[in-house]
Amino acid sequence: MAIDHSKDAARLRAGLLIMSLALLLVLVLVALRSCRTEWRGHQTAFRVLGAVPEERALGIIQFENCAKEMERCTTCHLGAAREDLAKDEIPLPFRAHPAPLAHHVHKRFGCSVCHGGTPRALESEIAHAAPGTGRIDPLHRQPHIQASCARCHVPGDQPGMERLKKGAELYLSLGCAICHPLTRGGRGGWDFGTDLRALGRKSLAYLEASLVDPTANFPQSTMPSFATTFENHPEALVDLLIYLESLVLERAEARCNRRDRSQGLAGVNCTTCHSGDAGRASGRFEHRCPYILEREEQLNCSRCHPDSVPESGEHRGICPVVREHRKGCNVCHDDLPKVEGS
Amino acid sequence: MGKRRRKRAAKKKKTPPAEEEKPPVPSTEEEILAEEEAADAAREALLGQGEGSAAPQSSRRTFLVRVGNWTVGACVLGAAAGSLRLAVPDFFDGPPERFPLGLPSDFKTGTLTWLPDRQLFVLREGMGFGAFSSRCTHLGCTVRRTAEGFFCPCHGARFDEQGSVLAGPARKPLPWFWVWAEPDGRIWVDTGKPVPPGTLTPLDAGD
Amino acid sequence: MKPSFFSALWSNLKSLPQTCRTGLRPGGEKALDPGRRLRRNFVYHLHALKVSERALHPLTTLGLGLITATLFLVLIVTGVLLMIYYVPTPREAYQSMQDIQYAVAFGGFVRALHRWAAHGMVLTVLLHLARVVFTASYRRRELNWIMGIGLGACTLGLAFTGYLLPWDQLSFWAVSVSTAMLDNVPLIGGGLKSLLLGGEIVSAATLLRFYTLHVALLPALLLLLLAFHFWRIRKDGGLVASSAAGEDAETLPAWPHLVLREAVLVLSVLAIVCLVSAWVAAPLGVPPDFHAPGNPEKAPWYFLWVQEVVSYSSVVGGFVFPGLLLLGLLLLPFLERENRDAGRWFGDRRCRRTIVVALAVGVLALVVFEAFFVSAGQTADPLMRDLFNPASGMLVLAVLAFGLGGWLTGSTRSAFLLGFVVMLVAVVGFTVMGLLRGPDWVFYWPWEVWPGGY
Repeated sequence: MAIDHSKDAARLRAGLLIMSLALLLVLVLVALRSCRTEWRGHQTAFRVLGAVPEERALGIIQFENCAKEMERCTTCHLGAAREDLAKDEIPLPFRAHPAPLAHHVHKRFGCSVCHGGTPRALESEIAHAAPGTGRIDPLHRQPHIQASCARCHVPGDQPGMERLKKGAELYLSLGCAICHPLTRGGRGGWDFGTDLRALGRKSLAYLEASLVDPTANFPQSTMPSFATTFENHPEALVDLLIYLESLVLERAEARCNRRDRSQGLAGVNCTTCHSGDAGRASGRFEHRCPYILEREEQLNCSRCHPDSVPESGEHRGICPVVREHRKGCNVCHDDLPKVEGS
Repeated sequence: MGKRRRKRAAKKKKTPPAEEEKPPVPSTEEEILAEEEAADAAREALLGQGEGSAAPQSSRRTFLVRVGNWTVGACVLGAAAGSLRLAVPDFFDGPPERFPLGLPSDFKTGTLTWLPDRQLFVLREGMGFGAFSSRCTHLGCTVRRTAEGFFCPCHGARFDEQGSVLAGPARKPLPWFWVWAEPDGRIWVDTGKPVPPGTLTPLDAGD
Repeated sequence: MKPSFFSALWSNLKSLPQTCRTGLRPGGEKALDPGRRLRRNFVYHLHALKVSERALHPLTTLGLGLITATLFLVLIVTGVLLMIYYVPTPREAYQSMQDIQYAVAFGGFVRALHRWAAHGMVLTVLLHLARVVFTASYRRRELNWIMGIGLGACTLGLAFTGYLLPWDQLSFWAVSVSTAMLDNVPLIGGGLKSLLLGGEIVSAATLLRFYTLHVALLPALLLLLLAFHFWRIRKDGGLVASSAAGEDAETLPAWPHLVLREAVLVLSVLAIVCLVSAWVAAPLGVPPDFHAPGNPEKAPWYFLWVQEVVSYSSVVGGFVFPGLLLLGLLLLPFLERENRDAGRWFGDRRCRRTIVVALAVGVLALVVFEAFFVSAGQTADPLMRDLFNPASGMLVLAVLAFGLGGWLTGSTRSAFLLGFVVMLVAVVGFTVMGLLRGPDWVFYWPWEVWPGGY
């Protein structure tokens, strides 16, 4: 192909002009998009509302919450801590937060300790989603937000975590703890008794499937299905899901109330699990008996727990092995009755 | 003082009175091209001359030059070797090789416990304790338990209950480690001391 | 009278505007217009004065070298901008990435530019290598060819080290698994792994080392090699051309014909990469879980073939296959020294026919190997697995194609082209296989749904 010397330069210059314009156009588009961000829109609307106390530039608002996470929620949720904006006419996201539970002051606790999400983000779609997943974080709203209580509290009677406590009680009463004890390492790895605390965050769909049809998540699973248990009790299913979600949340280490942790499930007595004759499965456990019987070797309590519980003497009524376990409990749970050594 | 002033005056007189006339600056494209081509040619000619016209050097001079080159070379090599040694790590960030697993009562007999933070499986059979890695020996992914033993989801390696390779790209069995009990009753493991697969350390009476 | 200090100073101050004008624009008082000055001092320094018409034709080189260099420039600029906010410690790496993505002005755009320019650069570097092989432009340019291989290695190294920096789940496990592959390299493998990781596992030390490599050492090395690479091209006489077409070819001055073409190409590349980055955001995965990887955890596309081969056998994937590929490439200009058809795409007609044959045989062989291997299931014996797997099969086929093809055609160029095409089919084929892998490293067709997951 021969190049026309005379016209070549002119054509090239034309091409150069076109490409320069194209590049400029793209950069202008990027600049425009960057100027019209969602949070800027919200802040303008907030100013229009007349709710900004003084004429000050807002910009990105961030602070570090008690769990040492940086959050930017109040860049858009400008009225969250403002009591004068609690009226219903105030549109979201400016409305004040409904009366928080006592002691959970926004200034100290922030938002994401309870609501989860991606607190460093500034677009609502991403900020409300679990980090890196693109899916709305279930902790965002009631009732699943109650799972966040477990970041600092053991499920108990305090106000605000009723459904979490119900979920915890279901965990024990349905016998989940038999195969998935809440001790380190679980019962035996993935196939039989995963340590549920080591699962990492799973979606609600995954957790629900693992209760209703475990082989959907995991073809080799030997876990029995609890579909019939929850068939007519959808709220109970949600309660248990809330508790399961709470198991994988990172404990908020900074400034946690240690005394709080000693209440709750630690006070539940043994008969919640060990009901029936000589501690064997019965009643609610019956339709799962064959499954448990197959694993009698591993689950048989008499291996660890001696057959006899002394009826009299110093440790009357207390299993000697439990006595051994309790020694460790006192390290954190100082309100449990102290047990002397053997 | 006077002498210096006179010297300075003399020096000033020696400098040339005006700058030399510069050649005319090329203004058209052809002239620019021609000038560059001429410069290229002149450069080539000079280089050609330079290579041919070097005077023969004495053997002493070549020797000294060689010594100089080797000295510089040695310095460079030494610096490079030192830099490489600097990059070799002497201290390590990771978890310690020996660490306690806990009390015997923490582990139910006849069970396998996975410690995720340590990537370790702990097996208790009666009073015997064993520990082996949960890292696949192919490329380090975490294996999971299956009916026949273990399975690695990364590339499909399969191991039996003791960690020996059944199939897949792994070549070595899951490594077992030395386990022992301290006088205070706690069980310790040393991941730096491999032991044959299936080794269980029997512990004394207790839980 | 001798002028005093003050009067000399004053007269210099008075003529300051004029002396500034002439002093800051060397070239004499009767200065040329800026365009001509630029050309005389800069353009004609970088470029040859005249180029052949053939060199100006887009299909001669496809401009791949220039595109790669442009993308590298984009990477340097965006990289420096990212360095303002990124912190290379485990606790803060992911958080600073989130800050860049969500809170920094133009942060998401710059990050996307960096990511897509990086992918683009790896792609064009590989295409550039293929172009040089197919046009036999390595003839009599052994040093420059080795430089080029070095540049390719630096590019891949930059992509690899950059991948860890976001410190998300994929980064952490991708690097854990890839550095584990180094154990398969004999003698130096273990030491190299320890050097890269700063220990035995991926940790804070690893992140810092990868950061240093990514922002300082590898870019400096790449720039050095690049300068040398460009210089060598000029010194060796520009683009390789067959001697038949050489002397009679029409030449045009580099300005404006070559330089304006380059400018148009550079601007086009910039416009395209900016457009893509404006449209598609760079992904940021879930925070790392150090206990277990995701399922599946797949390498980026340019390393997917390595991951696939390594899943057959870690020795073949980690050492033998890439090693032989590298060896073949390094030896190419030394073993292939024919005197004809340099610069012509695919050589003469006979060469072209051999390439088509190699392509067909390669694809067929790959399909057969994969089908047999997959259905034979997972062999137990590691040695059998190392010897009999699709990657070893393709390696043997490449060597056979090289030897047999060369003997039948009597041409070293054909032999190398055959071997190269078979290896290319293998690499592309394994990349495609890797794309089809799902949870538990099981095959899923693109329309099938993956089970389980998040």
